[in-house]
Amino acid sequence: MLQPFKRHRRSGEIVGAFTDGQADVLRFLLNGQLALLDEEDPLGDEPDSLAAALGIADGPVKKPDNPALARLFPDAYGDADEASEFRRLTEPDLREGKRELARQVLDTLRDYQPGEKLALDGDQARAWLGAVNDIRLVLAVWLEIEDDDDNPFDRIQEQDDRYEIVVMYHWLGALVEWLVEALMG
Amino acid sequence: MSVAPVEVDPEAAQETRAAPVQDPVWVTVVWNDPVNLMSYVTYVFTTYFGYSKGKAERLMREVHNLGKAMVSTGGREQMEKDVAAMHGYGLWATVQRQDG
Repeated sequence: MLQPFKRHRRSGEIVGAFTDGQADVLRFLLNGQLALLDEEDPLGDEPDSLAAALGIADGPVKKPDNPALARLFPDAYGDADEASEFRRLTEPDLREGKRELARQVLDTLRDYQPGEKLALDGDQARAWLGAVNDIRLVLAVWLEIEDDDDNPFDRIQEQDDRYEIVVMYHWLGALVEWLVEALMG
Repeated sequence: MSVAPVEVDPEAAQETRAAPVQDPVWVTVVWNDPVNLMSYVTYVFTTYFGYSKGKAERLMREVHNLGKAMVSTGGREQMEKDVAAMHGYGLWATVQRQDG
Protein backbone atom coordinates (compact mmCIF):
# COMPACT_ATOMS: atom_id res chain seq x y z
CA MET A 1 0.00 0.00 0.00
CA LEU A 2 1.47 3.29 -1.09
CA GLN A 3 -0.50 5.28 1.43
CA PRO A 4 -2.60 4.04 4.30
CA PHE A 5 -6.15 5.33 4.39
CA LYS A 6 -6.35 8.70 6.08
CA ARG A 7 -9.12 11.21 6.63
CA HIS A 8 -8.50 14.39 4.68
CA ARG A 9 -8.99 17.21 7.15
CA ARG A 10 -10.68 19.72 4.91
CA SER A 11 -12.82 17.57 2.62
CA GLY A 12 -13.59 14.85 5.19
CA GLU A 13 -12.84 12.27 2.49
CA ILE A 14 -10.93 9.15 3.35
CA VAL A 15 -8.00 8.91 0.97
CA GLY A 16 -5.74 5.98 0.15
CA ALA A 17 -3.63 4.75 -2.75
CA PHE A 18 -2.78 1.33 -4.15
CA THR A 19 -0.20 -0.22 -6.40
CA ASP A 20 -1.19 -2.10 -9.54
CA GLY A 21 -0.82 -5.45 -7.83
CA GLN A 22 -2.80 -4.41 -4.77
CA ALA A 23 -5.78 -3.14 -6.77
CA ASP A 24 -5.81 -6.39 -8.77
CA VAL A 25 -5.66 -8.52 -5.63
CA LEU A 26 -8.59 -6.58 -4.18
CA ARG A 27 -10.68 -7.03 -7.34
CA PHE A 28 -9.83 -10.75 -7.38
CA LEU A 29 -10.84 -11.17 -3.73
CA LEU A 30 -14.06 -9.15 -4.14
CA ASN A 31 -15.16 -11.18 -7.16
CA GLY A 32 -14.36 -14.35 -5.26
CA GLN A 33 -16.50 -13.09 -2.38
CA LEU A 34 -19.44 -12.43 -4.73
CA ALA A 35 -19.14 -15.98 -6.13
CA LEU A 36 -19.02 -17.41 -2.60
CA LEU A 37 -22.14 -15.47 -1.57
CA ASP A 38 -24.08 -17.11 -4.44
CA GLU A 39 -23.24 -20.63 -3.19
CA GLU A 40 -25.93 -22.56 -1.27
CA ASP A 41 -28.33 -19.62 -1.66
CA PRO A 42 -31.36 -20.14 0.63
CA LEU A 43 -33.62 -18.65 -2.06
CA GLY A 44 -32.54 -21.68 -4.11
CA ASP A 45 -34.25 -22.30 -7.42
CA GLU A 46 -37.09 -19.86 -6.90
CA PRO A 47 -35.45 -16.46 -6.69
CA ASP A 48 -38.59 -14.92 -8.26
CA SER A 49 -41.13 -16.25 -5.73
CA LEU A 50 -43.17 -13.88 -3.57
CA ALA A 51 -41.27 -14.98 -0.45
CA ALA A 52 -37.98 -14.27 -2.21
CA ALA A 53 -39.25 -10.83 -3.17
CA LEU A 54 -39.84 -10.21 0.54
CA GLY A 55 -36.31 -11.37 1.31
CA ILE A 56 -37.30 -14.61 3.05
CA ALA A 57 -36.88 -18.24 2.04
CA ASP A 58 -39.87 -20.56 1.43
CA GLY A 59 -38.77 -23.50 3.52
CA PRO A 60 -36.38 -24.33 6.37
CA VAL A 61 -32.79 -23.17 5.81
CA LYS A 62 -29.90 -25.24 7.13
CA LYS A 63 -26.44 -24.04 8.08
CA PRO A 64 -24.27 -23.82 4.94
CA ASP A 65 -21.88 -26.76 4.31
CA ASN A 66 -19.14 -24.42 3.14
CA PRO A 67 -17.35 -23.43 6.38
CA ALA A 68 -16.66 -19.92 5.06
CA LEU A 69 -20.39 -19.31 4.55
CA ALA A 70 -21.11 -20.90 7.94
CA ARG A 71 -18.75 -18.32 9.47
CA LEU A 72 -20.39 -15.39 7.66
CA PHE A 73 -23.84 -16.67 8.65
CA PRO A 74 -23.47 -18.35 12.05
CA ASP A 75 -26.36 -19.98 13.95
CA ALA A 76 -28.25 -17.32 15.92
CA TYR A 77 -29.78 -19.85 18.33
CA GLY A 78 -28.54 -22.97 20.10
CA ASP A 79 -31.79 -24.69 19.16
CA ALA A 80 -31.63 -26.08 15.60
CA ASP A 81 -35.25 -25.26 14.68
CA GLU A 82 -34.99 -21.70 15.94
CA ALA A 83 -31.66 -21.27 14.18
CA SER A 84 -33.21 -22.52 10.93
CA GLU A 85 -36.19 -20.17 11.23
CA PHE A 86 -33.85 -17.23 11.90
CA ARG A 87 -31.92 -18.14 8.76
CA ARG A 88 -35.13 -18.38 6.73
CA LEU A 89 -36.10 -14.85 7.76
CA THR A 90 -32.71 -13.15 7.67
CA GLU A 91 -30.10 -14.94 5.55
CA PRO A 92 -31.31 -13.79 2.12
CA ASP A 93 -31.14 -10.12 3.18
CA LEU A 94 -27.80 -10.61 4.93
CA ARG A 95 -26.34 -12.20 1.80
CA GLU A 96 -27.63 -9.36 -0.34
CA GLY A 97 -26.19 -6.82 2.10
CA LYS A 98 -22.77 -8.44 1.86
CA ARG A 99 -22.98 -8.66 -1.94
CA GLU A 100 -23.84 -4.97 -2.01
CA LEU A 101 -20.75 -4.10 0.06
CA ALA A 102 -18.51 -6.01 -2.37
CA ARG A 103 -20.19 -4.39 -5.38
CA GLN A 104 -19.79 -0.89 -3.91
CA VAL A 105 -16.08 -1.46 -3.37
CA LEU A 106 -15.64 -2.84 -6.90
CA ASP A 107 -17.41 0.31 -8.17
CA THR A 108 -14.90 2.56 -6.40
CA LEU A 109 -12.08 0.58 -8.08
CA ARG A 110 -13.67 0.52 -11.55
CA ASP A 111 -11.75 3.43 -13.08
CA TYR A 112 -8.97 3.42 -10.55
CA GLN A 113 -5.48 3.94 -11.91
CA PRO A 114 -2.74 2.46 -9.71
CA GLY A 115 -0.70 5.07 -7.89
CA GLU A 116 -3.53 7.62 -8.03
CA LYS A 117 -5.30 8.76 -4.90
CA LEU A 118 -8.55 6.96 -4.15
CA ALA A 119 -10.93 9.30 -2.29
CA LEU A 120 -13.88 7.71 -0.49
CA ASP A 121 -16.88 9.40 1.13
CA GLY A 122 -18.16 8.06 4.46
CA ASP A 123 -20.59 5.53 2.93
CA GLN A 124 -17.96 4.21 0.55
CA ALA A 125 -15.40 3.90 3.35
CA ARG A 126 -17.94 1.99 5.50
CA ALA A 127 -18.61 -0.34 2.53
CA TRP A 128 -14.85 -0.89 2.17
CA LEU A 129 -14.51 -1.68 5.85
CA GLY A 130 -17.41 -4.16 5.81
CA ALA A 131 -16.32 -5.91 2.61
CA VAL A 132 -12.65 -6.13 3.59
CA ASN A 133 -13.57 -7.46 7.03
CA ASP A 134 -15.87 -10.10 5.49
CA ILE A 135 -13.11 -11.26 3.13
CA ARG A 136 -10.71 -11.44 6.06
CA LEU A 137 -13.15 -13.72 7.90
CA VAL A 138 -13.27 -16.02 4.87
CA LEU A 139 -9.46 -16.13 4.47
CA ALA A 140 -9.18 -16.99 8.19
CA VAL A 141 -11.40 -20.04 7.58
CA TRP A 142 -9.10 -21.23 4.77
CA LEU A 143 -6.10 -20.63 7.05
CA GLU A 144 -7.83 -22.49 9.91
CA ILE A 145 -7.23 -19.69 12.40
CA GLU A 146 -9.06 -20.86 15.50
CA ASP A 147 -7.16 -19.34 18.37
CA ASP A 148 -6.43 -15.75 19.51
CA ASP A 149 -2.71 -16.49 19.72
CA ASP A 150 -2.47 -18.20 16.35
CA ASN A 151 -0.30 -16.19 13.95
CA PRO A 152 -0.40 -18.07 10.63
CA PHE A 153 3.02 -16.67 9.70
CA ASP A 154 4.43 -18.93 12.45
CA ARG A 155 3.23 -22.16 10.86
CA ILE A 156 2.78 -21.45 7.14
CA GLN A 157 6.13 -21.10 5.38
CA GLU A 158 7.00 -19.29 2.18
CA GLN A 159 6.98 -22.48 0.09
CA ASP A 160 3.45 -23.39 1.30
CA ASP A 161 0.59 -22.93 -1.21
CA ARG A 162 -1.29 -20.90 1.36
CA TYR A 163 1.53 -18.45 2.04
CA GLU A 164 0.05 -15.80 -0.28
CA ILE A 165 -3.26 -16.06 1.56
CA VAL A 166 -1.42 -15.35 4.82
CA VAL A 167 0.13 -12.24 3.27
CA MET A 168 -3.27 -11.06 2.02
CA TYR A 169 -4.86 -11.80 5.39
CA HIS A 170 -2.38 -9.58 7.19
CA TRP A 171 -2.61 -6.83 4.62
CA LEU A 172 -6.43 -6.79 4.87
CA GLY A 173 -6.02 -6.55 8.65
CA ALA A 174 -3.95 -3.40 8.17
CA LEU A 175 -6.63 -2.00 5.83
CA VAL A 176 -9.27 -2.63 8.51
CA GLU A 177 -7.18 -0.83 11.13
CA TRP A 178 -6.61 2.17 8.88
CA LEU A 179 -10.25 2.43 7.87
CA VAL A 180 -11.51 2.16 11.47
CA GLU A 181 -9.07 4.85 12.54
CA ALA A 182 -10.08 7.11 9.66
CA LEU A 183 -13.81 6.59 10.35
CA MET A 184 -13.64 6.97 14.15
CA GLY A 185 -10.81 9.48 14.45
CA MET B 1 -23.77 6.88 30.88
CA SER B 2 -26.24 8.78 33.03
CA VAL B 3 -29.30 10.95 32.61
CA ALA B 4 -30.57 13.88 34.64
CA PRO B 5 -33.11 12.92 37.33
CA VAL B 6 -36.72 13.48 36.27
CA GLU B 7 -39.56 14.70 38.50
CA VAL B 8 -42.04 11.84 38.84
CA ASP B 9 -45.70 12.16 39.77
CA PRO B 10 -46.10 9.31 42.36
CA GLU B 11 -49.66 8.49 41.25
CA ALA B 12 -48.70 8.25 37.58
CA ALA B 13 -45.76 6.08 38.53
CA GLN B 14 -48.09 3.71 40.39
CA GLU B 15 -50.33 3.34 37.36
CA THR B 16 -47.35 2.40 35.24
CA ARG B 17 -46.25 -0.13 37.79
CA ALA B 18 -49.68 -1.78 37.85
CA ALA B 19 -49.23 -3.18 34.33
CA PRO B 20 -49.48 -6.95 35.02
CA VAL B 21 -47.84 -8.48 31.97
CA GLN B 22 -44.07 -8.48 31.71
CA ASP B 23 -42.50 -9.60 28.46
CA PRO B 24 -39.58 -11.98 28.82
CA VAL B 25 -36.22 -10.28 28.45
CA TRP B 26 -33.97 -11.43 25.64
CA VAL B 27 -30.32 -10.66 25.11
CA THR B 28 -27.87 -10.31 22.24
CA VAL B 29 -24.63 -12.15 23.04
CA VAL B 30 -21.44 -11.47 21.06
CA TRP B 31 -18.83 -14.26 21.19
CA ASN B 32 -15.07 -13.97 20.94
CA ASP B 33 -13.45 -14.98 17.67
CA PRO B 34 -9.75 -14.93 16.77
CA VAL B 35 -10.16 -12.85 13.60
CA ASN B 36 -12.12 -9.64 14.19
CA LEU B 37 -9.78 -6.91 15.37
CA MET B 38 -10.40 -5.22 18.72
CA SER B 39 -10.60 -1.81 17.04
CA TYR B 40 -13.18 -3.13 14.57
CA VAL B 41 -15.38 -4.65 17.30
CA THR B 42 -15.30 -1.31 19.16
CA TYR B 43 -16.22 0.46 15.91
CA VAL B 44 -19.23 -1.86 15.44
CA PHE B 45 -20.53 -1.28 18.99
CA THR B 46 -20.28 2.50 18.67
CA THR B 47 -21.68 2.60 15.13
CA TYR B 48 -24.60 0.20 15.44
CA PHE B 49 -25.67 0.64 19.09
CA GLY B 50 -24.55 4.26 19.42
CA TYR B 51 -22.58 3.38 22.58
CA SER B 52 -19.90 5.77 23.82
CA LYS B 53 -16.34 4.78 22.94
CA GLY B 54 -15.74 3.89 26.62
CA LYS B 55 -18.74 1.58 26.84
CA ALA B 56 -17.96 0.00 23.47
CA GLU B 57 -14.36 -0.67 24.54
CA ARG B 58 -15.48 -2.16 27.85
CA LEU B 59 -17.84 -4.56 26.05
CA MET B 60 -15.16 -5.40 23.48
CA ARG B 61 -12.72 -6.30 26.31
CA GLU B 62 -15.39 -8.42 27.97
CA VAL B 63 -15.84 -10.35 24.71
CA HIS B 64 -12.08 -10.69 24.31
CA ASN B 65 -11.23 -11.66 27.91
CA LEU B 66 -14.31 -13.62 28.99
CA GLY B 67 -15.23 -15.13 25.63
CA LYS B 68 -18.58 -13.37 25.33
CA ALA B 69 -20.61 -10.33 26.40
CA MET B 70 -24.25 -9.29 26.53
CA VAL B 71 -24.31 -6.28 24.27
CA SER B 72 -28.04 -5.49 24.25
CA THR B 73 -31.24 -6.52 26.01
CA GLY B 74 -34.90 -6.14 25.15
CA GLY B 75 -37.76 -7.83 23.33
CA ARG B 76 -37.11 -10.87 21.20
CA GLU B 77 -37.82 -9.13 17.91
CA GLN B 78 -35.35 -6.33 18.66
CA MET B 79 -32.69 -8.84 19.74
CA GLU B 80 -33.11 -10.78 16.50
CA LYS B 81 -32.70 -7.50 14.63
CA ASP B 82 -29.52 -6.76 16.62
CA VAL B 83 -28.08 -10.24 16.03
CA ALA B 84 -28.78 -10.03 12.30
CA ALA B 85 -27.01 -6.65 12.29
CA MET B 86 -24.01 -8.15 14.13
CA HIS B 87 -23.84 -10.93 11.49
CA GLY B 88 -23.99 -8.20 8.86
CA TYR B 89 -20.86 -6.69 10.43
CA GLY B 90 -19.20 -10.12 10.61
CA LEU B 91 -19.41 -10.55 14.39
CA TRP B 92 -20.44 -13.90 15.86
CA ALA B 93 -23.66 -13.24 17.81
CA THR B 94 -26.57 -15.25 19.24
CA VAL B 95 -30.02 -14.53 20.71
CA GLN B 96 -30.98 -16.02 24.04
CA ARG B 97 -33.44 -15.54 26.88
CA GLN B 98 -31.91 -13.75 29.82
CA ASP B 99 -30.97 -16.38 32.42
CA GLY B 100 -32.14 -18.92 29.86
